[in-house]
Amino acid sequence: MNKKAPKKSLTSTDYFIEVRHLTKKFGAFTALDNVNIGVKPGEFVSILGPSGCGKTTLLRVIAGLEQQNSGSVWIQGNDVSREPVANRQLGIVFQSYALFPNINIINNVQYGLRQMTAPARRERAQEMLELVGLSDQADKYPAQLSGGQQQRVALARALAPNPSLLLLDEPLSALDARVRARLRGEIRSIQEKLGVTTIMVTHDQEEALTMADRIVVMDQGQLMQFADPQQLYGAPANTFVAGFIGTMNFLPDCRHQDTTTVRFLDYSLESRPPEGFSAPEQITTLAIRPEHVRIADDQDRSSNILRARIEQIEFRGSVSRVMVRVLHLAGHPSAHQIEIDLQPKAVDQLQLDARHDLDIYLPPKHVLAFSDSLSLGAGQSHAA
Amino acid sequence: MDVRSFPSFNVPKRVNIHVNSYRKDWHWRLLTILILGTIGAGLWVATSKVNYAWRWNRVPQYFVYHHEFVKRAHYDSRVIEIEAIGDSTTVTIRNQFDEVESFVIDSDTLKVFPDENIFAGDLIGSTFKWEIGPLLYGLGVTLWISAISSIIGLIIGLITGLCRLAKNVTLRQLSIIYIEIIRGTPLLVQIFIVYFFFGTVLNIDRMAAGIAALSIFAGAYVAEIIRAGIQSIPKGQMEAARSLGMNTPQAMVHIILPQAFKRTLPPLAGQFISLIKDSSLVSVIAITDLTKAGREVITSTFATFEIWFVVAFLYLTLTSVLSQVIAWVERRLAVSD
Repeated sequence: MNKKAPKKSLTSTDYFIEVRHLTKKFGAFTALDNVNIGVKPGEFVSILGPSGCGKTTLLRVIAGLEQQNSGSVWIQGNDVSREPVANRQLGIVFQSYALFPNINIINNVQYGLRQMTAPARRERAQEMLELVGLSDQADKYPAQLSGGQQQRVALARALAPNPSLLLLDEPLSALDARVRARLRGEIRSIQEKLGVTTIMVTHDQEEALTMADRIVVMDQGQLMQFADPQQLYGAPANTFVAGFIGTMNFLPDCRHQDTTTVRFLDYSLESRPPEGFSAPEQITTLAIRPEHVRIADDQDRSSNILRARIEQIEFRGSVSRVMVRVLHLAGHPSAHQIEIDLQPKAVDQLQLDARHDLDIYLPPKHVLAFSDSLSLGAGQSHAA
Repeated sequence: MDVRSFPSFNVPKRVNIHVNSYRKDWHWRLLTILILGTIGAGLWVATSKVNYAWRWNRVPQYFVYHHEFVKRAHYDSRVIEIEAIGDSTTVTIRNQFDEVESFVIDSDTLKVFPDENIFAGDLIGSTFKWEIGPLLYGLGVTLWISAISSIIGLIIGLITGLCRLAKNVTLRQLSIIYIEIIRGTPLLVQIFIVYFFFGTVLNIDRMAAGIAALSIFAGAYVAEIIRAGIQSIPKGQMEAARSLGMNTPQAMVHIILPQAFKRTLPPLAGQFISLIKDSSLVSVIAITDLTKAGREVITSTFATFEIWFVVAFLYLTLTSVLSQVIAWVERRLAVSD
């Protein structure tokens, strides 16, 4: 989060791994644009973003598989920017697993242990296979294992040389949903057991939110926000993060009205005191999560109430999502829609159906305020 | 391969989709036989029109033949002893200088009697030995030239293929120039140049020149096959090996090349089969390979048709055996798939 009071001032050596002012260009395309990140020892950090945002490039530069144009990579206080991958003591799990198809599982796992004696290597490899629950598959070849098993072999192989840093490149993206859910927990528990600092690239926000201690959100080569999952969800630094994580209703084209309220259409709305920028004059966009919008009842004050018309009700099991169109005060429809999550029971009780007009209440403490300039200023957030 | 001896190997089931179709499409198979039969009959009618006398019986002697070694008396002599032991007989004679000579001959060829006086040059008997004929000898030469050229060509191709992918510009350019020159000129011309130019300048014999020309020729094609094979291995394999502490050459030798070899086996097999056939061109620099041996046999038998058919059949046998061997190696390597 921006400008949050620092709990403890971390110097660069307190970070296990740090990247400073990293820029990487592929021809005219900028894959990484002045990225700064610091990861603490033992932390599980996830790099999250849409396709082509530079997240895999960031991982590959940290690994040394790609050479940055400028900036530096520090591991345990040492500048490793020019070191080849073999010297960085990393374990990498590739998206495609990259198991060696011509050698069997046990030899795959002990491949990185060539400095040890043969019996010690075998023992260590067996130990790693037991850790991932595959000790009975040691003599098979990679092609004879399922995707989930191959994934675990890749993890065992990466962890066998006892690396100081584990890098996971979309490790679960090739697996089906159930295997993925199970492996999430397994990878996290192994990581915690070994205490190895881990960086995982993913495009799946659920994966990032459930596994990581902290999440780096990237877009178009830039760092959008670096925070823990709760902060990302509850206090996104900009409209990109707000829209990327979970579902968010945006109320764009707001105008400043006075110190506490902004104008949206012909309504006057109050928001949570904006963080990251002090002047409410800059507010251009308000946002609120579907679960925070309420159907207004008689006790609600007149402020932060919008007139709306139900367009559609979707039953989604534990919640029902009600799509409403915001109406102008005069009663004609506007261009803006809002999604509301309600208990299915409440939908029944209120006897809501399509074409039904109602008042909705946006509690001020849940209304987030953003300014356009924000999305570029998020790069410093890791310094908090 | 006995699957049971490798219990953990899950050898992929080879599903033969033709098994059940034999009964269904028998008429098409019959048609194939009919077409081949018609072609054969047509050729037979055509050859009978040209009044060609087929003499297949003359062919076998050019594979192996019973060579007769005739034993004659060197001087005027007297036979003093004839001792038969099984099929062979020892004839002992005393010549005009009072020296004793012995001849070992096959018993049924004995032409002298005990105490007979014989003159210089008289026949005593003969022995027979199986000798390989020119066709078998030529086959051996073709096999030898092809094998040596394949091995050298593979080494040249491997080195050139790796240079083709090297970071160094000079290595890359040199390998491209080599490949383009060899692929852009006819093998026959290359053989002449290697034999007449390099053979003269460097003073190498025709066999070495022939093998060199074939190796250099095969190397250029093998290089391109190896390059494509290496490039077909996913980039992640090299990165994974390097992230586990290997340097690039180690990763190349232990991880990339074994996989690339498996993938390039079918095109390499095709290349080596081509090489066996192309080796027939070295007959132009008077190396007695199968083709030249065939030509030589024709000059002494005039059995032109028969010999060329036989030569073709021998080449076909060599190439079929090679492709069967490669197919077997492929199946062995398929275990990890």
